[in-house]
Amino acid sequence: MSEYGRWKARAEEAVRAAVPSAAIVRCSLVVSRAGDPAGDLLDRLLPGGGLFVDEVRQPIGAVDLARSLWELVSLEPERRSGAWHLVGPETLSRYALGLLATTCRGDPPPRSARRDEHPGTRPRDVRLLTGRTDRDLSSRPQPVTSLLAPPGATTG
Amino acid sequence: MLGRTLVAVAPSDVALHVTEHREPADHGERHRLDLANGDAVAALVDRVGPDVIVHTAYDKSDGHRGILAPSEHLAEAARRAGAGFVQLSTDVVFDGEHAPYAEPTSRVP
Repeated sequence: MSEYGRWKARAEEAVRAAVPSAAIVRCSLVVSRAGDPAGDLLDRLLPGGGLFVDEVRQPIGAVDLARSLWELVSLEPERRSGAWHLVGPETLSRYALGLLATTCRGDPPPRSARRDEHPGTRPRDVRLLTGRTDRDLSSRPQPVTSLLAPPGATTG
Repeated sequence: MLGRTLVAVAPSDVALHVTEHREPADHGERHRLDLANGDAVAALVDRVGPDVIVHTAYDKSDGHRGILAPSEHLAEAARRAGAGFVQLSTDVVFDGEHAPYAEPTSRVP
């Protein structure tokens, strides 16, 4: 587990201890493009080095995540309590997401890398199931392949 | 940055109180606040009396001051105020070796 993951896990535990009825919302990489309220969040996806082809996430658009959060906030407290997984509908490697981002902006493609070339503590596959979210929230995030599609492109 | 989007798409009937530290907030009633300062967090929550606190802020550069302490302070203040609490967390609290993870799945440290 990464250092960031460890601190976030400790924060989850602290919140549960203080407020047992709290909602804990786990999300994945959050993306948006220029013109969204958060501005362009693509830079954060593109650190200078290579992007792993064998590390997968479920990225979600910032606006979609925010709308889902407001729907969650509107629930009665007893329905809101506990863990929620708010992630996008697609599973993508870091490299695939970086490629979408660079294509969206008209930049050169990122360099690919493999995890075994760069030993570390980053989790390999943190796909989250969303049974509760699908059942209890009506908001449905769009695929980031649509969100980051170049202007005029169509996605299937 | 998610916080900025959250306030931008807030329902019109929500009375927003937004905290800002390094970056200015541009919606709602703004409050300058260092979330690592427990006394300041408690004083603001006591004064505002929120129905729900949504905690999205974090700073990866200092795990204690930027992630754990703000969560502890806000959650404790919410408990005392009787406010609901929504904590933004992450998929990387899981170890990445036992996917997929269901909502009730215990975290693997």
